[in-house]
Amino acid sequence: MTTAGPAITLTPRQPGRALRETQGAPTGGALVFEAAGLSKRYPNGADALRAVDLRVSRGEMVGLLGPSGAGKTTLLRLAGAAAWPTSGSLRVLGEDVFSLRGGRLRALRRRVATIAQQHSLIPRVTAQQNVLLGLAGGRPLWRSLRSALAPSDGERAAAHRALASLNIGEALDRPVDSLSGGQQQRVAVARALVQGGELVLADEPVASVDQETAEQILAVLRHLVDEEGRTVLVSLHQRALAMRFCTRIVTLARGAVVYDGPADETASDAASDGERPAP
Amino acid sequence: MSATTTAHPPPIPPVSPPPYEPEGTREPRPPRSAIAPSSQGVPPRRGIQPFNVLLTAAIVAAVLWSGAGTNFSPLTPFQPGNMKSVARLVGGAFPPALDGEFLRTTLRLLVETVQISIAGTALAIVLAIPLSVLASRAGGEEFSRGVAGPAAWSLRWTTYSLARSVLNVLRAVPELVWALIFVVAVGLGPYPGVLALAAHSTGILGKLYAELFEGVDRRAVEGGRATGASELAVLLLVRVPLTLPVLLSYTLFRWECNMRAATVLGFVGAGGLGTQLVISMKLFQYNEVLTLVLVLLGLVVLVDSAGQLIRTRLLEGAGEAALDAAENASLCRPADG
Repeated sequence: MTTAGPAITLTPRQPGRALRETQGAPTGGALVFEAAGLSKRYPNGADALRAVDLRVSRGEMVGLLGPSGAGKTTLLRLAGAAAWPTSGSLRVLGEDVFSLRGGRLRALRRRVATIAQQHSLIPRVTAQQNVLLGLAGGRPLWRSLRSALAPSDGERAAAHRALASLNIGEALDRPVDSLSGGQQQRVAVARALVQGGELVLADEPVASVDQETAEQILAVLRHLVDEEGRTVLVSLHQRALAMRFCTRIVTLARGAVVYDGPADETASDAASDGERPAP
Repeated sequence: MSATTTAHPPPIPPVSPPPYEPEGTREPRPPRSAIAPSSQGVPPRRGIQPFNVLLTAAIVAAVLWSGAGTNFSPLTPFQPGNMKSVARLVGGAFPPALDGEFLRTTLRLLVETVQISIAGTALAIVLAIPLSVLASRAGGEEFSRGVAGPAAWSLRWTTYSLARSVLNVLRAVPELVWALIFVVAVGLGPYPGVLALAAHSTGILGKLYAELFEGVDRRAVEGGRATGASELAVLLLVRVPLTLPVLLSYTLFRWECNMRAATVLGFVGAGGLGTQLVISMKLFQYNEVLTLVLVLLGLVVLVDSAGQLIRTRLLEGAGEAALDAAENASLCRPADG
């Protein structure tokens, strides 16, 4: 298992050691994610999620597998309070997500770092500015504006550290639209690293990168789990990567969980095909 | 694979002519439709659309009706009386007035025109920003009726509609009409001119900014919100940087429009070069009119060229969505541009 990621010391909000090693379904640790009967139907009538029950404990790295349209992105968007369910309930970090509004909703979002694909970035501004946006939720607006226009040395160092941990430290002052797709993807990851957060949601973080970079990004995410006790939900297309870096695999198909179990070799076929019913 | 097949390609069979068939021995041909379904599957030809006929007739009727109503005739300018007036105008205009005092007055009014346009545009920006924020939909499910709740949703919708209405009214009334109103309200001079330009431009810039802020990529906005940032922070840290080139470019374009508009505000006593233009016309000083028109022309060409140059630089690489949004908002009436 490759877990020796580069040293990440960025705003560790949950310092501590790994809580659990490679394990399967939750065994009663502090639940950070608890979905019950979670369903989502989009206005066009498509059922993205159908009564999903899923519990994730602190310190897990859950790989979400499944074909396109299986509901992985929807599940992550619901977890990040970017979308609301049609029915069902969801508790994230102990909060009933869908009852929250305004300041309390933003407070929860600060504790949940989201890595979207590179489209979440601001193309014309620098990587540094994009990365420092991760701090915007936890500070007054004037400080965010100041760091966008004239960042302090400490902020520059933090942004550089996050980028350097993903091997793109040299991109600090480059506009994001001058970077390759893979580099942009890493900038999106760096933003989440700077934000911190007890739960990290990553939607296809390795979709547009080469194998080596994919492994590097997942190693950094695994590092957050093992060394900082955070929890990661990551959607992936490559089963092998999920097996290698995640502690647990959840496979979705047509909006339902069809496999949920530990990321070990015996489970690999079932996890990717979704043949074995969820326990 | 055997060597023979590669060395010797299979022989081409000789083409023999079709066997001779005496007339009448050939089998009857199957019906044509069975061989090539000539019309099967081909969508029927679209006939002339009644709507298009009606529309064409309506346009022709409107043109004829408007020509009759305005006594339009291509020969009117060439009637003897009118020819004499044109000759008097053109003859009186040359040479243009170049005496020192008139040039000094012209220069003063030129500077005033530029000042009116700058002050009017600046005031419009200040007013347009908050109005555009109120007049743009935030997007995202948390602001939908089902999630936000009917009370919060209604409040937001009412604010949005009110802001949009204010922008529509401001935009619908032309600068010259605003100038008339403000001349009555605050007296003659450049100040009502500034207010007039600001009022109309607020309507245009406010709508443009609102469209731009709304048109930002949803995923970028979600990325900003995901950090826990407030909507104001998302506006300033995500929406504004994403739209900044178009925002600046069209604000600059609006200033160019205002520069042209400022030259005619003087017609109703709201300052600028137009003031002197009206006086010179009324006194039949056509040589002064020519000087003023030439100065105006120079100013407009200068501002247009500079503006074009800067806007091209600003828009290099601006996002498609932002440009589309800018096109959708009515930026500059044809009369201005």
